[in-house]
Amino acid sequence: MTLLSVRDLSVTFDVPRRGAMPWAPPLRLHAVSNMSFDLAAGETLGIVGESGSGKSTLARAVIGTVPMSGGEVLWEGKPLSGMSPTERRGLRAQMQMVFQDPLAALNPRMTVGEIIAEPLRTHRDVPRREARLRAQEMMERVGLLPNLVNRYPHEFSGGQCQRIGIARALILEPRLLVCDEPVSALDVSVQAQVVNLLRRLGREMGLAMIFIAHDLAVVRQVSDRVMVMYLGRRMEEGPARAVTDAPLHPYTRALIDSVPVPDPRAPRRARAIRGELPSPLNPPSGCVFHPRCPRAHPDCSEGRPPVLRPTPGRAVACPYHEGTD
Amino acid sequence: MPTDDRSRANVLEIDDLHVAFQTTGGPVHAVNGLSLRLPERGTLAIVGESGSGKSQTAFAVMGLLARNGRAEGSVRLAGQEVLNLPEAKLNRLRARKVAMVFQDPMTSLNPYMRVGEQLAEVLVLHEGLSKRDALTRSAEMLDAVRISDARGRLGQYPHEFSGGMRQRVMIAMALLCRPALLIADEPTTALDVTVQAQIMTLLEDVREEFGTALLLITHDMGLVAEACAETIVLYGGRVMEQGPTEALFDDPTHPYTAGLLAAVPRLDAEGDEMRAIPGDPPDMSRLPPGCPFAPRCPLVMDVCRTVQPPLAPHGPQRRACHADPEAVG
Repeated sequence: MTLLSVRDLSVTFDVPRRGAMPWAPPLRLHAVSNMSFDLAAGETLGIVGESGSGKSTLARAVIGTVPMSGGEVLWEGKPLSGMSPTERRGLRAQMQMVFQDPLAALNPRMTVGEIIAEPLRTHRDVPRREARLRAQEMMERVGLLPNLVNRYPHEFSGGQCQRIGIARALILEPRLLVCDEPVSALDVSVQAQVVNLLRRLGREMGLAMIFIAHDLAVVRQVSDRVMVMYLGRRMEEGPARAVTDAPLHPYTRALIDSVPVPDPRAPRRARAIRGELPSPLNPPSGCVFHPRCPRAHPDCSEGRPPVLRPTPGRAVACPYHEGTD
Repeated sequence: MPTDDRSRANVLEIDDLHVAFQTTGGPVHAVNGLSLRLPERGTLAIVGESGSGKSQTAFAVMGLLARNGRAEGSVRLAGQEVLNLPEAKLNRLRARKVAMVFQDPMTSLNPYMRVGEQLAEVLVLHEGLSKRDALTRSAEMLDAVRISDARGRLGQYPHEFSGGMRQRVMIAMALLCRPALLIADEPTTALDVTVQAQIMTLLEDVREEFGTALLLITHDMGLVAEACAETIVLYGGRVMEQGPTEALFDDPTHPYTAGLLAAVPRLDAEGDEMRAIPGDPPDMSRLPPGCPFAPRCPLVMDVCRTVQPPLAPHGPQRRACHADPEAVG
């Protein structure tokens, strides 16, 4: 069953022109351009991209913390734009978020119990005593000792703070969890703990997840499907293992080749692709990846590349993708 | 991976380095008894997680410890003792014998100065060149780190450079006086992965071109495998294991090394679960009396909680562990 549908979603920001008169029209930055995807109940969609790819902005627009400039988000087939404020407030409880910096996301003046129970008090009006008990149950589920309920965030390690953030996000038993780089601030030895926890809880609670990360290996581990973004556009999408094991888009290929392999005997990786992410204020014409693309053809700078569907469930925005020559 | 030649002279020798900080909560022992040898043109990685003491080791070599920090032991650059040297003497060694590249290229450059001025300043100060000659040499060095239109870019400010280009400028600046040793402290952590690949390729190229030795400080086992012949694994300020990178990756003899290698997310991983190390990194102000890894170690014994294991040779490696090396892995 499709829980969430995103249709043609765009997000633009107005950026003042440097050194221009205050009344000069601002520059328009296209952070996300015409993105569409579906998310089924219980499914995990991984979104991968480098900084500036628009992956966080896309997720924030979906849950409504960043205004959309175009397109539509549907929840169980119903457009969000047509909902009353009360309906939308109810829906907010169904969509929760886990943030990158685990300590910064927690109020330093509240105890862990208060932090985890707060959504119950605001959304469900649960009495204080019961909310506290429910918070302790949730602490146990995320692997925290329930007797630490009166401690403050600074007394916990980064990994434990992320568990607190997860407990708070899940206490309302949402149906969609958006995780924005949930492990990139953590040490490697702790990353795997949090990834495994999210996966286990996602299964137990039947959660749909949008999992945003720049690390393709982590995303592959948690996701059913993966979407690769570059400069606000979708480059490729498909089943997680298929995309990482046999990438089609030259950008996905470049991302994979750039990851250093922890094996001193591994053959040296192919040379890195050239250049850096262009400014989203002045994106390249045609396919936005063409100035860095090792497979670019002359016509790649003209017009948006068509989206091809070479196998069921896979989409690639490149007519010259891997395997075409 | 670069090969190592043990017959070369050492550019860096460290013996029994200890770094401690006085804090209001009592002393914090950041590094406890680290020793190493880095030959000319050699490559060595110090790998560890946050708080392991890897950056403080580099800062001690450079004489950049915070004011409440104190280093003991011996650090020799090309045979000369440098630990706790007065600032004026250190300044004569910095840039010419040793230079450092930091994690964040934006905060390491002065935003109000043109890039050319910042580069030329190094040569005017350390080699007494005229401004004009210094600018010419700076342009040559920008060219060497593959920045196109080097002459033109000398007149630009740091904000006009992208993140990767700024890190190239930092590498150029570090190499201006042809130091024998380059210390790179998480040089690519602030960069995107495609740009990281470019910078690591560049580091390897310039290292060969200029004959510089590399001390790489990193948390990334992938970069270690790719760039360094020798590796030191730190945890809680102590050396867990050190030795040739190939041996250490093929046959880790310390449970922490083995756990860390298993926890690295890999694109060819099988199965659903990732291999985690249970528990949390140690609180450096309250280190346990024995091995710092004991609370998280799968092979922990009673002795581990009370007695710090000595760093002892085992095959090509050295390891600090009470457990049977055959049981690790």
